[in-house]
Amino acid sequence: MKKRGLFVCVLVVCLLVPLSVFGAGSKEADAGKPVTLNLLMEDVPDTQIIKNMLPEFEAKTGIKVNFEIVQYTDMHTKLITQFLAPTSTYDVIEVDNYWAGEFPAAGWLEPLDEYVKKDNFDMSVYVPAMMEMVGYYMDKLYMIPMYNYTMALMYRNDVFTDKALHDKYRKQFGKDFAPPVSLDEYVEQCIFVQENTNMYGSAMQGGKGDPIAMEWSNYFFALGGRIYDDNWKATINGPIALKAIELYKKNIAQGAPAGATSYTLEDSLRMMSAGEAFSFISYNWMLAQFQDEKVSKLKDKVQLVPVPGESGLAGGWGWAIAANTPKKDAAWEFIKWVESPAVVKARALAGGAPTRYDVLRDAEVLAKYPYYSEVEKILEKARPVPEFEYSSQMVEMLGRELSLIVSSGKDPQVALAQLEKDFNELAKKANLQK
Amino acid sequence: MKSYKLLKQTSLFFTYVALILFSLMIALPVLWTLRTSFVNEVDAYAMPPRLFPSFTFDNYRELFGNDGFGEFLINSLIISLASTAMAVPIASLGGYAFARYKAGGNILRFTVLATQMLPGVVLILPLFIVMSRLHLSDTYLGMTIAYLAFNLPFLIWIMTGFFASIPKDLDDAAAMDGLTPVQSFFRIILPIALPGIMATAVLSFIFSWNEFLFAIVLSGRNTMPIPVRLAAMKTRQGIQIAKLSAGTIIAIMPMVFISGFVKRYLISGLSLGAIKS
Amino acid sequence: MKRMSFQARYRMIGYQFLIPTFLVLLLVVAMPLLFSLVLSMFRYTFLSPRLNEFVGFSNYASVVHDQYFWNSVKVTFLFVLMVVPLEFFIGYGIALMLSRPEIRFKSIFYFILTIPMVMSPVAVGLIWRMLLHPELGVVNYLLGKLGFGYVNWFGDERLALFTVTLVDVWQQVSFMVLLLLSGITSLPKEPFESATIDGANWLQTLLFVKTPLLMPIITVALLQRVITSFKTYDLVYILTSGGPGVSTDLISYNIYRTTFMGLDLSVASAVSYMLLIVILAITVVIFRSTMKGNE
Repeated sequence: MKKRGLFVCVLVVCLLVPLSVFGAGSKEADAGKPVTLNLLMEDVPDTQIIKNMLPEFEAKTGIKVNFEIVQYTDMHTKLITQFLAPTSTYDVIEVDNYWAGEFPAAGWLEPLDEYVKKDNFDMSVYVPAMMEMVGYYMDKLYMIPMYNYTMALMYRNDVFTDKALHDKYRKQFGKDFAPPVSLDEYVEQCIFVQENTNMYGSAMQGGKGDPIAMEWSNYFFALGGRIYDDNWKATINGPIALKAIELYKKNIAQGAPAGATSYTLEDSLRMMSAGEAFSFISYNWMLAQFQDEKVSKLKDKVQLVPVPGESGLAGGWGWAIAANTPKKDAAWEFIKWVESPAVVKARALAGGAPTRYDVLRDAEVLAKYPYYSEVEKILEKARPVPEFEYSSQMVEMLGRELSLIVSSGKDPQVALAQLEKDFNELAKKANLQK
Repeated sequence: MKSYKLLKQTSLFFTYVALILFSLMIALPVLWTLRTSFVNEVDAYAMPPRLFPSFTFDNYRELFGNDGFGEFLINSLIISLASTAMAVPIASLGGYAFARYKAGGNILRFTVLATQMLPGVVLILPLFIVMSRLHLSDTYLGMTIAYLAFNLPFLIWIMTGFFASIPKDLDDAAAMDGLTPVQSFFRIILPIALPGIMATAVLSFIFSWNEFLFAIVLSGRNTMPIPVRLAAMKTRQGIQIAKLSAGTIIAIMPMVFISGFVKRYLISGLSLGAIKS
Repeated sequence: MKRMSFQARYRMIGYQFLIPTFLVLLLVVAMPLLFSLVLSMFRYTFLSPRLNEFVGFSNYASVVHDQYFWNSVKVTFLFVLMVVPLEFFIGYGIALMLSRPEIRFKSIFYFILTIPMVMSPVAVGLIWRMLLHPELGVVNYLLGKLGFGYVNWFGDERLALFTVTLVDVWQQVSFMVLLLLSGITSLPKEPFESATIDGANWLQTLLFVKTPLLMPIITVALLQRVITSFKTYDLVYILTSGGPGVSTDLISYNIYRTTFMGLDLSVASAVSYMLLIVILAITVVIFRSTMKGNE
C-alpha cells in the first residue's frame, strides 16, 4: 500500500532530525589543535584595524582569532545567554561601560589581578577615570580599558569669527561672542545662532532612551549633579536636575531642529556633518571625521572642548575574559598583545580612541591628532553613569522620563520624584543600599 | 452593450491607475535604497537630495570583500531552503488533516497556533539552552529545525485554509473511485492546492529569510544569516546606511528568482485547467 | 482497527497526518513554552538563574500595577487596530485588481508589490528612518517642494505611532497580496459563471460569492497579522525606541526591555503569558466571526 510508504518517508525525515542531534554531539576534544579564540565585535573601524593586525598575533603566539560581527544590542543579548551556558563560545569579551557593573556583579567575568601581576602588565599608563569606569569593579580588576566613548562639546569656530554676528551678540547680551564657559551660556548661544543664521544651534539627540539620557547626563554633570551619592542613595531629585532639565528643554525647543526629539547619535552626526548645525555634544573622536577632507567640508572648522561646567559624560569599552571559557590563558595572551604599547599606538594612529597617557602624549600620535591634548583633559574630567547590575535599566528609565518631559509635557518634578523612587529601588534590588 | 464596454474600459483604466500608484509607493523607497547602495556613506544624506552625488561600487566591494557577505548569503539560502523543504510536506499533511478530517477539532488547531503567540524574546533563553545541550547551536541543522518549528503553525493554518476552500465532493468522488485517503490526497487534492502550496512555500522561505530574533542567539560564526549581519551595520558609531542599502538589495535578489519560478502558479491560475479535465 | 467505526477511523487518518507536525513542535517549541510558564511563577533573572524562589502570581500582580504596562496595552491595541484593517483592505484590493484577467504586466506588478516582504524588518526600519529624517530626509524635502509643511515623523508624540503604522503597512501589505492573490487564483470558476448568468453585478459577486469562498484564507491572513502585529518589536526598536515619551511603546518592545535591560525573565514571561491570553481570545473571536456558516 502506498500509504505505508508515505508515512515511512515522513517518519524518516522526522527521525533523522533527533538522530543527527546525537551525531553532532561527539566532536569536541581536539587537544593537539591550535587554540582558536572567538570574539564578539561591533562593525566599527577599530574592529577592522585590529583584524588587519591579527596575522602578527597569530605568527607570534600560534593562537587563531575569530571575530563575529553583530550589532551592539545583539552583543548584549548573545553574551548574557552565553554566560548562562556551561561554556561560553566567546572567550575575550568586549565590555561596554553600561555592562561594566552587570557582568562582574553576576560573576560572568574572570578577575584579572592575578594575570596582571604575573606578567607585570603595566596598568599605570591608563587614565585613572578610564580604569575607574572600565577597569575596576568593587576594587577588583575585571577589564582593561580598550576604547573611550567620552562625550565632549564640538562647535563651529567659524561662527565666532563672523563680525556681524559678533556685533549682534554683543548688542544683545553685552559681552563678547566667544566659546561658552558655562552651560547657561552655551544654551544661550545655540538659541542665538539658530535665530540669526541659517544654521541650527545644536544638533541635539533627544530620542527616547539611551540618546536623550546620555545627552542630558552631560547637562546634569556639567551643573555638578550626581545620580547616586556614595551610599547609593538616589540624588536625582533636586534643584540641579531641575535646572538641567530646564536648560535642556529650552535648548531643544529653541536651539535645535524640530526633529531632535527623535534624534539618535546618528541623526545628530549627520546634521553636524552636513554643516546644518553650530554645535553638538557627542563622542570626542567624532572630530576625526570632520578633519577628513575626503568626507567632510568642515576641516579645521570644528573645535573640541570639554562640556562647559564641572564634567561631561564618560563612556568606553574594556577587554575582559569570560569566566566560563576554558581558554583563559590564550584570552589573556590576546589582551596583552592588543593592549601592548606598539599595537595600541598603531590602533590610535589608525583612528582608535585611546585610553592611556603614553599614547595620548606620543609625539607621532599628537602630530596626527593635535587635539589629543584636549582629549586628555576631557577624559580626566568626565564621569560615567553609575555602574551596577542595573545600569542599563537605570539609563532606560531616565531616557523614558526625559522623553516624556520633552515631548509629552510631563511635569519635571513628578518625573524626578518617580525616578528617585525607582533608582532607590534598583539600588536595593542590587543590594547596594541597606 | 456599448455602455457596458465603456464601463469596463473605464474600470480597467482606474485599475491600472491604482495598481501603478501602489506599485510606485512600494517601488520608490526600494529604488532610493538602490540609489543609496551606489553612493558614498557621507553622500547618502546629501541635502538637497540628489540622485547620484557620487557613484561607487565600494559598498558592494566592501560587502563581498572584507565583510564576507557571500558567506552570509549562502548561510541564509541553505537554512531557508532546508526549512522550507521540510516545512511544505509537513504543513500540507497537517493542513489536510485539519481541513478534511477535522482532527482534534478547533481546540487542537488553536493549540498549534497558540505556540506562536508568545513573544519570541522570552523563548530565546530556553531555546538556546535546549539547542546548546544538543550541540545544535551555531549549526545549520539547529537553525533549520528552529525555523521550521516556528513557521510550521502558520503554514499549517494557511494550508488548512487552502484545503478548506477545495470542494469536498472531490474527495468523495475519489473515494467512490476506490482511492485510499493518501492516494486521493496526492492525486486529486495536491494538484488543485498547488497555488496554495506554492504560496506556503514562498512564505516559509520568506519567514526564514527574514527571521531575526532566534537567529541572533542560535547562529554564530558558521551559520550567521543575512538579517543578523545587516543589523550589525547599526553601530554605536553610527549607521552604515550605504552598505546596509547594498546588503538589502542583495538580500532581495533571491526573491527575483523565486517570483519568476512561482508566478505561473500564483498569478495565472494554470492549475485550474488541471482540475477541470 | 477493523472494529472501529467509520467516524473514528476517519479521525485516525487525520491524526496520522499530524504526526510529523507534533514531533517537530514537541521537540523545539513545547519545552521553551513550558519553561517560560514556569519562570513566570518564580523569581528568575539572568543574574540569578535559579528556580529556587516560587512566587506564585506575584510577577503577574507587579505587572498589573505598572502604569507603563497599561500604556503599552493601549498603544498596542491602537497599533493592531490600525495596522490589520489597513493592510487587509489595501491588500485585498490589490489582489482583486491583480486577479482581473484583462490586466497585463501582472508579473511585474506582482514582483514589485512583494519586494518589501523579503526585506529584513531591521533594514526596512533603518531605510525608512533615512527617508523620513525630519531635516535631511527625501520625503520631507519633496513634501516641502510640493508646498506641504514640515512633518516631524518620529519626533511628534501625536504622529509617531501613525508613522510606525505606515511603515508596517508598507512592508506587510505584500503578505496580504501574496496570500489573498493565491487564494483567489485557486478559486473554482463555476460559482462566478453562474453568478454572472444570474445577473449579479461586480459588487454582488465580490460580496456574496467571492469573499465567502475566500473566507478560510482571509481568516488565516487576518489571524497571522493580528498575532504578528501584537508581537511587533523590531520596527519600533529601530524607528522610535518606543518614543517620543511612551507614545509608541508596544507591549512586545516593553517585554524585550524587561528581559534584556531589566534582566528579569520572570516578569517578562508573566507579561508574555498575559499577552498570550489576550491574543488567543482575539483570534478565537476573529475565527468564530469569520468562519460563521463556513464550518
